[in-house]
Amino acid sequence: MNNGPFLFLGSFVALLLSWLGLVVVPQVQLRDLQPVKNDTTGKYYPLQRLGLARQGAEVYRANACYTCHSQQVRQEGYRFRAVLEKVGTNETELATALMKLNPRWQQSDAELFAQAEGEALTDMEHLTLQQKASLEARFDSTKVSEYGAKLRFDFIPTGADIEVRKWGVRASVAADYLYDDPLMLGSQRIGPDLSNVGNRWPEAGWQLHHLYHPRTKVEGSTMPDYRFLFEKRRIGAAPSPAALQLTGDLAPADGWEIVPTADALALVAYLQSLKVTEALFEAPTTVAP
Amino acid sequence: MNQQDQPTNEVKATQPSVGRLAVPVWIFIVALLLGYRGCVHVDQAGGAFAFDARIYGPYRTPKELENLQPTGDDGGYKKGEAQYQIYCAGCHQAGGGGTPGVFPPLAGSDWVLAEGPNRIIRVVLYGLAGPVTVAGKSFNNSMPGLGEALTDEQIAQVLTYVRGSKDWGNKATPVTAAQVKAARDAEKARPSGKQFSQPEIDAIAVQ
Repeated sequence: MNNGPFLFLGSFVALLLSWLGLVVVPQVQLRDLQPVKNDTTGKYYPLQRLGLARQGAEVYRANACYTCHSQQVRQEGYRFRAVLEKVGTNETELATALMKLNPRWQQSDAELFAQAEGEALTDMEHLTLQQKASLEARFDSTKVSEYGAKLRFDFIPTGADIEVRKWGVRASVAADYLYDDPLMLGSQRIGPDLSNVGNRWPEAGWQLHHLYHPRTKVEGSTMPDYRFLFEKRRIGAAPSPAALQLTGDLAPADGWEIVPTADALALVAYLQSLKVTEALFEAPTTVAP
Repeated sequence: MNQQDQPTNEVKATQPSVGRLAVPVWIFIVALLLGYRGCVHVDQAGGAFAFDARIYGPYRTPKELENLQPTGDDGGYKKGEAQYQIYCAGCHQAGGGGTPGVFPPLAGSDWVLAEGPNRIIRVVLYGLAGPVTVAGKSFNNSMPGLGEALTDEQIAQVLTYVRGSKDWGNKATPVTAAQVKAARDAEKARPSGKQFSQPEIDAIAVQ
């Protein structure tokens, strides 16, 4: 061990560099993150979880829900789609204007266009930003707006998480986790992503029954039962209104009922609070008409 | 065979040894520092490598995200940008810099950034011909009028973009369709397509 100090210095530098790259630099880059105000609703996003939902985060953590569930929606890209919002009063002018957008359309389609109010235009469903801008300008250069016709372009984030699995409406970004401590992003997706579960299954009753026996709500679910979050007890003077409505093999014996514990209620409140739909500058959801 | 290859019976007092490093350590340190400085430079110089904490994949630039924000009432700025790319960028270039000696610039141009849009509206409506001085440089070319091709609204949009373009650093007030209409009405007697010259434009009130 002739090179002790040299080895020490080497490993120290290696650790120092990882610490700088993984801790200090991200801290410098993201420390100024603040909740942002939505000008339309006047509300701030994100907000701190309070009360039951905050306790629920601890139950989520204690039961290691993050082992099987992630909280991060991935987005692969985005596209636009042209929607004929209003057809206006002049069919001929409208057809002329639309022919400028797609040479395959013809004047004889005028009648079809006139009935297409509020519908997405065929062949105009996968537009890039550049295509959208040029079509918008071409449509605007016609006089058709004088007759009340209006074309709208919907902005659509794309990706399997968003379009196929329906787990969210946009990519998750750092601001979404501003008040999460610890961060429970998860690393495996044995179960579905939960970043938006509060919108997907907003009812507490659904969540409670699902926790007690997931197969009652989701066929073929591989999630274990979390029955220790519930209490089996004798029915007192009157049945508890919070008792689960169970049937068949799951139903308790006569005179008994299954009621959720405080932990179960807190966990459900936390799950209901998981919502990532707010549009942010760094993660737009849709362009308003 | 030369002298060195001769076998020798002399026993060397010490064995030859190799130092720990053939190259001085400070060279590595200087290289690291230079590399770091280079990365910082690329980061700050902008372009595709610039770091911005607001950019997450699949988005690439702040500009791209700005285009995707909900369209509030921007006075026609974004629509004007699209019109500009169609009608103006051919000569004045996408960046508004023009072509030195041929097409005058719009970015930082005293014509564009005048207090009121009165003169610039007329240039777009009827065009401009003959020798002109823009931002201290002389040009002699002919710009066709766009009064026939574009509506009042479109001219207002494109001028709002040109006068207020964030990309070029222009910060003049926006233009409304009513102002364009007023200019059209004031020039009713002028035959369409008759281009303005600098003396004629200079005779018109700025606001």
